[in-house]
Amino acid sequence: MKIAVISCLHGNIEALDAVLLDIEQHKAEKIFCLGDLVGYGPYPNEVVEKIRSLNIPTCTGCWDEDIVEGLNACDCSYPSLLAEKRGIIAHEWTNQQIKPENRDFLAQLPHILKEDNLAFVHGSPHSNHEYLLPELDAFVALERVISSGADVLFCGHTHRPYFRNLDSGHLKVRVESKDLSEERSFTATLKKIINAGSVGEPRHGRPNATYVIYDTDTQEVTLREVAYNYQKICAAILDKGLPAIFAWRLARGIEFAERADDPTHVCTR
Amino acid sequence: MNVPLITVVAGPAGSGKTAWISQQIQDISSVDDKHIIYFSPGTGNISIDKHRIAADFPSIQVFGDGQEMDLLEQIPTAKAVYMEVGFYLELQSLTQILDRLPYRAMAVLPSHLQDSEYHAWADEIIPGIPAKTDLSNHLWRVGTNSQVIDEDSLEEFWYELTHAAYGNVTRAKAIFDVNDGRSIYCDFVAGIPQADFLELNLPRHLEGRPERFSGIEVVGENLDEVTLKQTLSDCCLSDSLIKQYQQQVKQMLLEGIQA
Repeated sequence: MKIAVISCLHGNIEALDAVLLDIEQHKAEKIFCLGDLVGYGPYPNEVVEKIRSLNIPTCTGCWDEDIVEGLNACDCSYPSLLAEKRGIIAHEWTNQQIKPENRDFLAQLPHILKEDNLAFVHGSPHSNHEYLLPELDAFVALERVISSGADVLFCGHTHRPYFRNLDSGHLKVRVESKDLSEERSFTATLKKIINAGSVGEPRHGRPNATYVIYDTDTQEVTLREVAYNYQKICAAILDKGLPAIFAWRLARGIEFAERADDPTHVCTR
Repeated sequence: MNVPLITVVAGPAGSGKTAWISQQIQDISSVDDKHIIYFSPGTGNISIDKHRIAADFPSIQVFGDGQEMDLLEQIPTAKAVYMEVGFYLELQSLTQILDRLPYRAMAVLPSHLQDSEYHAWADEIIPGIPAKTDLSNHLWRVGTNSQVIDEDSLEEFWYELTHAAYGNVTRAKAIFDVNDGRSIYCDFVAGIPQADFLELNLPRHLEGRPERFSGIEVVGENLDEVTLKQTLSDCCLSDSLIKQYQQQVKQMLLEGIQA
């Protein structure tokens, strides 16, 4: 079965519509969404309503969580003071715009979704704010997949799509004391991390939306990049009074996201 | 009065005037380099070049606007005098001021600039950096004295600034105090590969708000000055954050860790 996984929509209805059309053309039978429906973009309600109307299984993202619970950023969340100030502006604007029924919808989203040997999270099984970067230490990466209880872990949050095979996972544990000296080995089966990128706020240097198609029968992973009318969204950002720099960065595919530049960083929130 | 020949250096923004003067000073400076003078008129309180030269050559004498009388007093005993003339100054009026002093007019010009007013004015043309020059560009300057800029924010701001987020910038330079107490120099010339931020040869400032010079100068067209100023302001650290960073750096320095 072909499934499509989308993430990080960020109130960008134009990008979402283009991606849904592309999914239809590629005949994916089911869609999963990894959250961050809102934040930065000018159409938070429209995006939430579209996801609700299509009954797309969705887990919560860090921006969805913040809209429900209030800003709860740990001090490692943003790459800079400037990014944090802009993030607060985006949060406050979205918080004012979001309709109560859409906020309620965001509030009931689960942290993790599971289907057969697949798991779906926004950031990592530990935290919506944690980045599973492609360069993350293999041991930590393997631990994150195993903790999800799945063989294939889908995540987003970094806004850059990738997939990574974690093969030959071999762990050795030695316990030594006065009375005991014991060594045990564990071999993990092949695990995968698949990052779906971002539909609404790409960070790969181009404005195009990204998502992923996964074939559960063949394990084939297809990273999709979809062009859409980003100029229209940029105009809406300006029309709705959001900072012009959001449009400028969106048009260049260099959205801030949060701190996504340190593969060794493990969020302790 | 035995007045030395003054080297007056003019040219468009980003052509390499300060770099050329620095090289000359480097070549002639010695133990008595206090007898070398650098003067940068027309820059008001925000003279990036003057402070850059002063940091690079701490023994020489540097002068700016409002110090003309001191400058004139020092000139007779100077070994060499360099006067840097920004693109925003009228060469004609400069000639009138300098007419009573012996000077040699040097123009640092990109090769693509032909038959400009500099060519008529200069005694000698120095090949400069091939900067994308537009002599009609607008100049925006702001001082940031006493402010400490978050360096990560500065990198984002500088990227946006130099990639036309706030207008088409052809030249930008700045000196800022950053989180760990260093004073750094930022430099951009359109069409030239960007250099990393450069740490100036100044002591770290780790006690409260810095009192030394910092500021920025931007040349370009359609500059969104309001957003520029607001964004720069958003990069500035609060008193509590300044204190927090300074304590961290002092602790690291005490422990012998490279901050």
